Amino acid sequence: MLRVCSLSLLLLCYTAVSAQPMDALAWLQKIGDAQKGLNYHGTFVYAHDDQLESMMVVHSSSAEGERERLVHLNGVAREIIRNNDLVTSIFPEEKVVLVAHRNNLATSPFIQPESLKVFEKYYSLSLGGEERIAGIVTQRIDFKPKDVYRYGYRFWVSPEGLLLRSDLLDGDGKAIERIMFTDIHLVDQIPHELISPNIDLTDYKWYRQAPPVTLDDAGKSRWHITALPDGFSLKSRNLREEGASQVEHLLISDGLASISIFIEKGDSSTAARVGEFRVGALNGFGRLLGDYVVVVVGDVPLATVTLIAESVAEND
Amino acid sequence: MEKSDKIKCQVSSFMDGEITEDEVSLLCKRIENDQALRERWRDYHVISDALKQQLPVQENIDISQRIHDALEDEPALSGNRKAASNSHTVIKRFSGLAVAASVAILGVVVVLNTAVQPGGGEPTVLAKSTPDTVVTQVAGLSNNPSATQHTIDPRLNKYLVDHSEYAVSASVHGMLPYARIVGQQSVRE
Repeated sequence: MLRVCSLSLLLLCYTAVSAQPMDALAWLQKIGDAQKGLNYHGTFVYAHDDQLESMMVVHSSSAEGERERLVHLNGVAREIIRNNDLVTSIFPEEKVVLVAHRNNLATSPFIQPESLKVFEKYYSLSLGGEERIAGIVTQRIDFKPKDVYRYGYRFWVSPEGLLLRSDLLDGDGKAIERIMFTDIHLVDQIPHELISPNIDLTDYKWYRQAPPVTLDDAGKSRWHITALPDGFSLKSRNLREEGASQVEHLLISDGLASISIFIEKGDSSTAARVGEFRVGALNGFGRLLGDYVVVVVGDVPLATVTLIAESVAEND
Repeated sequence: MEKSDKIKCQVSSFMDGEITEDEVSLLCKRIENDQALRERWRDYHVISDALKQQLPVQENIDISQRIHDALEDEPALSGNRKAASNSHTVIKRFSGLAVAASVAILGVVVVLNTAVQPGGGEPTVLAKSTPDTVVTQVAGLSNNPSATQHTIDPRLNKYLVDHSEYAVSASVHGMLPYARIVGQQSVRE
């Protein structure tokens, strides 16, 4: 049975926010816990460049793990469903379904308290005021970067720890990207019809990406990074077969920003991947390294992806 | 005015409380039986909520210009030209991702197993082959006609999609990286 956040619950939530002040790090820990453990569904708007998109999200947590569903509410009803590390993407306009395994997807960045302490070295954290988002009183948290290698953030967090609004900010504090819930419902259990697609997939073409090979031992890689900005660390290193090519993918994060490094042998299309590029809030930079192409992309300033791309070197 | 356009206008008027009770009754029936109208009705509510509750009118009006300015100026870079050693080069601006293009380089075709629930199980691999999917190309930025328009390279597109999906594991934002995939693609429509 649905347990919709009622007026009385909102009042309790408001009291909780007011009576039990927490510092910004404690709020971050709460976000990490809520992200994994709560059952909720709602609608949010996603603003980037000059576009405003609306989407529905459903999150379920049970003994079997996590299950999430994201549905595009404007135009074509594309959707992505994640069942632990299995990600299924449905694209009605092309009648295509992609199925892929993603390693380590269930790991929240803020579960470990030591990660929070490290994080504080690279962002100035401060609590803002209480503001209503989607009818819920939230706590605003501001993250101002202490160097030029990362963007700033502003979060609005519900008393339960749900991130109801998030702004990605440039060096002047202007929003580059914004996500904001317009309604959200905390429930005991997610109804089956909400977590399953309602698209007839019988005439769709299905594709599966082979599971990547995790390279736990850095010694197995041919590459290393000589100048990673402080605060960023390696989260995963995978090797994937894609057609006739083999791609090494390194994921780096400082807890908020994520950066990917892709390295593969060059081919006739290599030139299209060299240079600086931008897609929405993502910046990227590609360069040649011997017979290989290195491409770095992330939600960080262009300076950061450029620096990292230029610091990738082959092991002796 | 086409009939469908008239109904869309009625939906808009309904949102603004500008139609009669009889028209409300008729329109409710139409919305109930028309998936497209239901989606339009829901979208109006979402955007209306966003505007009324959380996006002050003035801020909303100028958000695209602010974001545009932010992207153009990239002030975070201004103090760090040394690190951006290639900052003099032309930046390619891609207007969105074309996820279907990514499958062209996967090299594995699977068939639908009717017992499979998306996200809940494994499809069966039928055969390895090169998919004949047409690579989709993206259009230029609609808000900046003067900007150089680029078609995204399929492999670069694949990198961006892979990054967005993996970023879920390292981000506090939950599904936001997925929203980037789903949302960015809409610029082609």
